[in-house]
Amino acid sequence: MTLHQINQLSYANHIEPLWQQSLKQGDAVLLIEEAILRLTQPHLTSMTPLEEKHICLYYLQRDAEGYGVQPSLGKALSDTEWVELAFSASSHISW
Amino acid sequence: MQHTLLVTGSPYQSKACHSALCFARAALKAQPDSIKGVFFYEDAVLIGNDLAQPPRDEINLKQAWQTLASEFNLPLYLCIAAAVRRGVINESESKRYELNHHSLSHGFQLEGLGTLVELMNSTQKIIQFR
Repeated sequence: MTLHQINQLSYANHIEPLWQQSLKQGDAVLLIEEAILRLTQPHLTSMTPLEEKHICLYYLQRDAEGYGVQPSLGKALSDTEWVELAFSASSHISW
Repeated sequence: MQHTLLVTGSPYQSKACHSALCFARAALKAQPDSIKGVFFYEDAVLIGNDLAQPPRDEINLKQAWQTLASEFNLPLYLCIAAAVRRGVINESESKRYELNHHSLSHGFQLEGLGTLVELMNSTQKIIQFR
């Protein structure tokens, strides 16, 4: 499983499709920092490809609280759970 | 298994140094030897500037990294080329450039990219914070 760490609300035009198209079945996506705001604008994080490819969506609880967001999508992670997820991934990509 | 943290985001323009700190703290509390070293590169080297003083009502990221490093004997490396060009200079570099001052905070050390390569080759994977 590759963990894709996303930390921006939106990336440059050439990066945004790149990271989404690089997702493979069984990968995981973690939203941190201002990327949490993607969960308030679902069109920026298209959920259809994630569901089709069985990709788990996570976000940091600490960052969600920091931005005052209560996401209805994804699974909240504590810092401890974040570490466990990152260490268990076979590879880690920070976009 | 040990891991390497690579931090490239500026402490002033991004949350990279803070996110990496939270990650490192949680990792080391769970497994004290889980992180072999932290390599700061590009603008992230500004974290090691001893002369920078954050406002008193804000988190002192530099101090937080120093405390964590001291508690867990965690090496904090700054890319020497990136640091020197940004005025983060240790005593020996200060002498080499014939300067009167040095500005590297304790707990941090200047290293070349060879150190990053060694970390990459000797740990399971590298986790980057941009």
